[in-house]
Amino acid sequence: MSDVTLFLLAETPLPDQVRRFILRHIHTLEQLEILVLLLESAPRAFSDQEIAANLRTTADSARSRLSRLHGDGLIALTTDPSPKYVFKPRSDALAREARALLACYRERRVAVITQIFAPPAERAMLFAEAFRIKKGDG
Amino acid sequence: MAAVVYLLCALTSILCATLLIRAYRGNGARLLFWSSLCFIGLALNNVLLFVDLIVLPTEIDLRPLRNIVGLIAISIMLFGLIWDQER
Amino acid sequence: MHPFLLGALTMGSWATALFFLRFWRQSADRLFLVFALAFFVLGLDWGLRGLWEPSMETRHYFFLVRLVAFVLLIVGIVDKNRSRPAE
Repeated sequence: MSDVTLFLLAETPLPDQVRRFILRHIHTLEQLEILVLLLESAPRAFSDQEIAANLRTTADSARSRLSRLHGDGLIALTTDPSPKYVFKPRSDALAREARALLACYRERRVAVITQIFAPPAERAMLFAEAFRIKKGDG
Repeated sequence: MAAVVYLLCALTSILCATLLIRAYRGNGARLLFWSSLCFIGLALNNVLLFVDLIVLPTEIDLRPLRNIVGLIAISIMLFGLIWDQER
Repeated sequence: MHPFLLGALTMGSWATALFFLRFWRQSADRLFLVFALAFFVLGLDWGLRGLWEPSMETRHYFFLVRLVAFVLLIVGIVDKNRSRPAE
């Protein structure tokens, strides 16, 4: 890639959709990697130990990230016979956004990671969310 | 025509204030509180505009009152934006 | 007294607009851009009233500027509620 292309890639911001997805659902690097792992291996399901081993992290910390992702409706829990997690978003919109994130992650990893650690601007988001007349997450 | 516009402005402000108050009751971010006060003030400002220019005779001038109400509204908004620096 | 109040109102609105612009940059939410524009136009409305003391005949024409500001707010709210299902 030419220098100019690299520079442009680094400087152009992430697509709005991906940025909002990260702001809303991805708050740690670990969450990102778990989601990526499950997305890339879908429809294969993993137990929390398998995920922890794969990502070289502790089962406890993997479990807390997994329950957060589950609460957000991005992954599903199957219990046959032991609890395993699989990428199965609650809605098509979520699925699309997650795949968009994966695409961005593959091409512009640093931008994605930077966005995860950017200041959360939570009250901005809360202000904007106030103007959604029908509640119900997408 | 102008009357309709002023009323529309007032209604829009009230809508914004309502949405913000509802959200504030939901999760209590203080910016929501201050900005809802601001929009209530703007609604009042628009209602006074309507009353002043359409209803009342031209001898009565509500301009100082109108503008002070508006200024209080905007000041509250700015206060909320600047002072409460919770992330 | 009025030019002073109107000047303060303009400055306050534009400062608020700047805050919304920053929120837009931070969160990539189009709503903030629209709100920033709305408050900018509101400030314009007050500023114009301060610069050109409206006569009895012309004072109603300022409502056009105010209308733009509040229509922008409505557009912002509608847009916020429409884009959810499409995403």
